Parts: sequence; structure tokens; C-alpha cells
Amino acid sequence: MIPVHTILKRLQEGKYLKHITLCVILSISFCNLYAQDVNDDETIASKNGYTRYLGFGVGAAYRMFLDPVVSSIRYSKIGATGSITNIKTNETKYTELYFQASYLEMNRPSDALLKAHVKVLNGVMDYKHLYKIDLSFLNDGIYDVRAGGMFSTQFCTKNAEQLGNSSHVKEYDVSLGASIKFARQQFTGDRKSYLTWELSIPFIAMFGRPGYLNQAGTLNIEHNSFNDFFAYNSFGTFGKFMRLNSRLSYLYSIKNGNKLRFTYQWDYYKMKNISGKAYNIEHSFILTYLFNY
Amino acid sequence: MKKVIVYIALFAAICLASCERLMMPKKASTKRVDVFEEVWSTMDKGYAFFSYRNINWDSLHTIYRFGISDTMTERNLFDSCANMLGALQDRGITLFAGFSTAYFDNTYKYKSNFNKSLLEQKYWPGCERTGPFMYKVIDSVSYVYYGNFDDHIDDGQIEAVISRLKNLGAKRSMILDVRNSIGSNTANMFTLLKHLGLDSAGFDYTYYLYQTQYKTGPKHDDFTEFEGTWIDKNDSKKFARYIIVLTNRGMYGIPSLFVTSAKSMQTVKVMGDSTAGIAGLTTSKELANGWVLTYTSSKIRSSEGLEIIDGVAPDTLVSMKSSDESAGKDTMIEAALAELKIKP
Repeated sequence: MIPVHTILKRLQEGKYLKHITLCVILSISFCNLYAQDVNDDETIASKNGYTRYLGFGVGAAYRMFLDPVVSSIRYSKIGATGSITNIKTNETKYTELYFQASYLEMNRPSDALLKAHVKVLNGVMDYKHLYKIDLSFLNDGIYDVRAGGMFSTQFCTKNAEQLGNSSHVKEYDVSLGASIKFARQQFTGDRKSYLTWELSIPFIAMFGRPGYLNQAGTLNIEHNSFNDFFAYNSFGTFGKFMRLNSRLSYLYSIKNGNKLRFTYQWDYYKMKNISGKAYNIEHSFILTYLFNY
Repeated sequence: MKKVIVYIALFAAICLASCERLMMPKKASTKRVDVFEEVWSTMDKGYAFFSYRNINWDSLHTIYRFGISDTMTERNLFDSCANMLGALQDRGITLFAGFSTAYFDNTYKYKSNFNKSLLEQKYWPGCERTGPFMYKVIDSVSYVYYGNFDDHIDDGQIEAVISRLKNLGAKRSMILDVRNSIGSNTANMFTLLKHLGLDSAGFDYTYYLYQTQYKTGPKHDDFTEFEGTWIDKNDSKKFARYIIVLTNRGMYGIPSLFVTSAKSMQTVKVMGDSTAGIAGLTTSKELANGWVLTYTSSKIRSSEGLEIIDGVAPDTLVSMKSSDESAGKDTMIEAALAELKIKP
């Protein structure tokens, strides 16, 4: 027998790391083996009858922007993206809280002497609240159409160091709009899966972009870079702010109610204020593991 | 019917995925003529000093546009744009083209009033360093040199410098040498300013540092009202009761703004030559061919409403004398020492 204090000491020295790692891997494997004995449709439901999923996704994003405050040239780049989602659904209702963030060092075609890059950090939070639409001609159990509203916020910071005082571009928006979701149920082997397409369009938005010429506020002793987001707020609809979010997903049921989601998302937005029209497009391919809880 | 709807949905999804060509404007033209027009119009909509310079920008367009054609070389286009921008005689304007950078400089017309090798041989030996500060005590007067406003400074460093100077026997006066200083970080400027001014005044006070006006639109006279910048009485430990700031023509931009700000404090006296001035903060824009155009897009003037674009005048004008330099003396430092040594 090894005394407890010796074990604790060795733990502190990291001598049991290999054993602990092995135990964790075996535990996960056991859980998975156990899960394979669970029926395909056996998802865990809440007391109110909702099926809930917590999803973590990673993937690649291809982003492109044209921002007159930064450049007359389009910047683009492929980079990494990650998402966290919480879905709550039942026969009639579907809600999803979705966070996605990406960080890219974007560049543009140029010769060697004029190389430039822009660091872009982007974050999105979308909340969708959808209700089932009773379309009798589709209502055969295979198709599921839900529509409702969406509340969305996003921010984006761009840092183009080559632009000196006007290198930092900060923008945000908070919007309200509509969202629709088409889902088709099918079977892949003996597994139930869904092909879904979601389209979301905000109608009204409060958004902020840099002011005219993106003049730095650093001459003000009380200048705060966080406040730059909110220094020039605008309120508008399609003419000033437009966003289209299209998401095509393939949802595959794995054992014990969990799901895998393969998503291709196209997210476009345009903002217009006195500093000009800025365009952003992001294509994302994301693989999400949805835990049923 | 069901299939039709599925096909429509799929078609819409695919269309949305590939329609950025429709949703974004066409790529900007990089033809020589179009780049020239972009340079001209960017300045036309953004430059803040057309009226001060009394320049007819439209006339310059007419003059220089004649020489521009799509068949000209990139270098010739650059030279033409540089000449047009040079007519504004503003040090805040630069055109970066990778192979060259065009800028206006007239400092060669003036005496430099800064002999670095003399300082290194006669005044800087024995200096201690804390952060970017170089300091020592000369005849009970503190001497501090700060040469780059981009070098980060913080309250802790300054307090360490103040304590050390006191231990070395400094009394209540100081020479702050910022000649030939460069940099553009306003945060460092504000940090330094907080350690000037009155220390133990029994009343509240506010120093009015300077005024700023920003462009708000494309017309030449689209500006905000002038906004003031103040610094209130604060708890920061002060350098000294009497301070002389040494200046010269080698200071442009934020160092020059520091001088005009410090000048508004009654404990500070500016000695030396005029600075090179500051017009305002700059804005930069990347053009369609990748060149970067930087220009002044805001106006700054002193707290008294004086234009400082062509320099901040000192309270006491002192120039370096060749005879002093030959004798191993910095005329400005000696003049400042002479004045401060008689302070109580």
C-alpha cells in the first residue's frame, strides 16, 4: 500500500498524469460503449417536454470585407472560427442561442513592397425564437417549417496598423428581424437525420461605425477605446443596415440523443453611415457536437 | 409541390452563398487616371487646411490632371501626385507607395539647435535611466531628457525619477529637454503633463491645454466646433516647482502639442526655438493600387486660439551659438541653468 500523503505528493509532482489521462480516456470510452445500447430516438427531454442541446463547434471561415475607412481594396482570408449554441425545441417551438467568433489576419493581393494586413476579430450572438407553421401540404412528418423572430448582436474590430492614427475600426450592431427554418427529415442508414436551411433577415438595427474619416479621439484626455464602438450610433433599416444569414445544415443523430451538425453558413452584412458603406461577408464551415441534456 | 419547394429552398441557399459579386461593389479601378482622381478626391473630402493654406484645390486638379494618362509609368504617376500634394506644404501629408514615400519637409531651412554629440560628450555622461527618461542633477537643477513620445511612460517611472533626483540633491527646478523628440502617442503626453503643474496649491485648478476641430463632411468647411482639452488638478507627484522646457525645430506633431500644452501651465516656461508645429491628427487611407495616403483631417490650435500649424513659439528665444558649442557648452541648457539657479 502506498500512503495517501505519498500519492498526494506524487500528484503534485505530476507523476500520475499518464494514469489519470488513461483513466479519463477509458471512462469516456465506457460512456460511449454504454451509449451505443441506447435507442436511437431516446433523447432526454426536460420536464416541460423540451429537447435541449448544448453544442460546441469548430470550423473554418472565409471572410471578405470592403471598408472605405480602411481601403478601396477588398481584403479576404481563410481562418478559424468557433461556435457555442444552445437549442431548445419541442413539437411547436424552437429557440436557439448561438455565439460565433472568428479571428483572422486578412490581406489583399499586392506586390511585395505594398504588403498589408488587417487583424479582424468578429463576434456574433443570434437568438432565434421560432414557431411551427402548419402547412397542410407539407405536414406529412417529413417536412418541418418554423418561422419567427430573431434578435442579434455582433461586433467587429479591424486593426490595420499601416494606417497610423486611423488604424482601428470598430463597429457593432443590435438588430431585430425575422427568421425561417426549413427542415427535412430523412434517414442515413438507420440513423435519423435532418437537412435544414435557415434564413434570417434583420429589419431594424442600431449600429455603430467610425465617424467621418475615422478620426482618432486620442486628443481627448478622456478617450476610451471601448467607447469608440458607441461614438457614432445610427438607427436604420435596409437602406442603412442590411444583414442576410443563410445557414445550411445537416444534422445527424448519433447515439444517446446527441447529434452532429455540419453547417455551411453564409453571413453578409452592410452598414452605411457618413464614413461610407462597409461590406462584410463570411462563409463558415462548422462541425458542431450537440450534447443532449 | 413538395419537391418544388425543396428545390426552391436549395436554389435560394446556393444563390445566397455565391452572390457577393452582386452584394458588393465592383473592384476599384487601378488605372493611373483613376488613382490620380482618388488621391485628389480623398484630399478634397478630407484635408482640413485648404482655407488656411489659401489654395485652390480645383485649380491644382486642372494643372496636374493634364499630365496624367493610363500609359504613364507608376513612378511618373507617383511623382505627379507627390508634386500636387507638395503644393500644400504640410508635413502631415505623406504618400506611401512601397518603392518610395513622398512628404514635405522644410526643417533644413532652420537651425537645428540640437547638438547630440555635444550632449553625449558633455551633459549626458553620468545620467541615470529609468524607462525612456535620462536624468541627472546639474548644480542642484534636475535635468531630464525624453526623446520619443512613443516610448511608454507611466506614473511609477516618473515617481521613481522624481525621488531619485531629490536624493541626488535636486532642488525645486528642472530642465525638461524634449528637443528633437519624435512620436505620436498622446497617452504618454498626458501622463507627462499630469506630472507638471502645481503640486500643493490649496485650490482647485484646471489647465486649458488646446482646442481641436474635426472634419464632419466632405465640404472644405465641414467642421465641428472647437472642443477644448483640459487637465484638472491631480494627485500625481510633480517634477518640480519651476520647469523650463527646451524646444527646437526638430519637434513635429505630438511633441509640439506637448509644448503648447505645457506652455499653458504657469509653472512651465518654454525656452529655445519654435517647434515645427502640429496641424492636427492625421487620417490614412489605402488607395485602390495599395498606396497609402496620409493627411491632416483635424485642426488643433492653442488654448488661446493661436494657430500652431507652423510651430509653437517659445517664451524665451534662445539659439545655439557656435562659440558655445566650440567651448563644449549647450547654449540652451546653460541659459536655462542660469535662470533656474536663481530660483528659491
